Amino acid sequence: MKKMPLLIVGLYIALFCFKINVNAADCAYGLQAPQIPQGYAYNSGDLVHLHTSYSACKGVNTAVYFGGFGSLPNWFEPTPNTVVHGDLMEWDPQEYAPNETVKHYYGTFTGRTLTNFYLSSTVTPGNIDSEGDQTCELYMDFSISGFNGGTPIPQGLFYYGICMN
Amino acid sequence: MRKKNYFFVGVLILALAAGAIVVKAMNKRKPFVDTELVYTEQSVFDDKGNGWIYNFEIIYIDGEEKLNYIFDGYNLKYKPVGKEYYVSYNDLETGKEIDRIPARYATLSTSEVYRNDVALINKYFNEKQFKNKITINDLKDLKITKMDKKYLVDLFNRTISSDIMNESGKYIKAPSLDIKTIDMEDGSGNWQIMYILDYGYISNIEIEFISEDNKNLSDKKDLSSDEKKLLSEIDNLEDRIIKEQQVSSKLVDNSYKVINNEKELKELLDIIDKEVLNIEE
Repeated sequence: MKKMPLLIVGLYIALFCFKINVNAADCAYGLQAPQIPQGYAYNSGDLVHLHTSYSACKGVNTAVYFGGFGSLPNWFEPTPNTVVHGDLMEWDPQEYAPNETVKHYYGTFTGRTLTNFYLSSTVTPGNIDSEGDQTCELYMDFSISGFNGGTPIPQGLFYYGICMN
Repeated sequence: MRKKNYFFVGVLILALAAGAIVVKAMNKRKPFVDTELVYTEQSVFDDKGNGWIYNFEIIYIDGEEKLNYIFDGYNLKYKPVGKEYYVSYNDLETGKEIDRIPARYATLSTSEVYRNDVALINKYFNEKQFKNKITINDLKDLKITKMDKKYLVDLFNRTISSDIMNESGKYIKAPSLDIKTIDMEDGSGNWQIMYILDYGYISNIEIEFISEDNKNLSDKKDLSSDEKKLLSEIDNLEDRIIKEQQVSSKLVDNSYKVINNEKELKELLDIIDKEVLNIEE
């Protein structure tokens, strides 16, 4: 019985900490994958503006979540080497171009089914915007291996969310 | 006379040579159907019961020597719940699995139990590039623990012996696999339709009524006579959809006495037709 107050306090701390974590991350969910071109071309998803709780937007504080994987159109035959590429990008105004690649992701197939997704590298772990600028402009670029100039995969193959701590 | 004979023999040899060239050209697998489709294929779909369809495909891609081999199983009856079927999300920098993202469809390749075997099977067949019938001995180096090798041999041999498909069906632009549901207005449950396409043709389709307590009518043991009639009409309708290669409420004619009263099912058939199979980019 003596352990009960401790348990309640512990539970309160756990919930409190969880709340802080949730509040700290600014996320944009429910983003639909755009048309995905084959070969070397890529297509950009929606641009989102997220707030960081740190003094600047850092690559290491970003996260991308994927879900709602649909199936490929029937005309597209994935091979064992077929890969969906996704680059998390930081948008800059024209005078500061080019935009910076923050993280690289890719997905692989077993047969026709997308079975694995990977965060392969954090390209820019440090500041992706000026010190003091706490608004981070982020978007994803997507492409799929195949024939250059081939018909793109229709939009909505999967959904994703971008978060910034 | 002799000159005439030489001339005749010469013409005959030329004709035979030309014929041989034409036959060789015809035999060359040229996977071209339209500007988007650059492959031909052989495929077999096995109905394994309880909604499971196992499939082997051999794909001949235009201009590529290597063939593409696909093995997987798809469940058309049950939507996956939880993370029993998942897409694995890994961080290669830490070597850790970040998350198991719930799969939208139950497939062997996303199954917690079978995914490793299915990945190994696909890898093995793509490496071995079998072009003729195989025996169990050909799979001796395939290290799988859950799938039956004898079944794989049989499935592959039936696939390699099947006709090459080179004329696509009308649904080639639609998703290969999809599921749609519609709720009953009275809250008694929902209708669910899931299908698989093969080279643009509807290969398999499953129509299910799922009650509000999440149970499939087709799994119910003590069926009323009306429910039996409904399930019989559903079986008939599924067969008709595959035979006629169309999904539409127009198929539900007066011979379907029970389904004709199922307004939501008819609506769902039209949704599949207009919003999934015939979607325009």
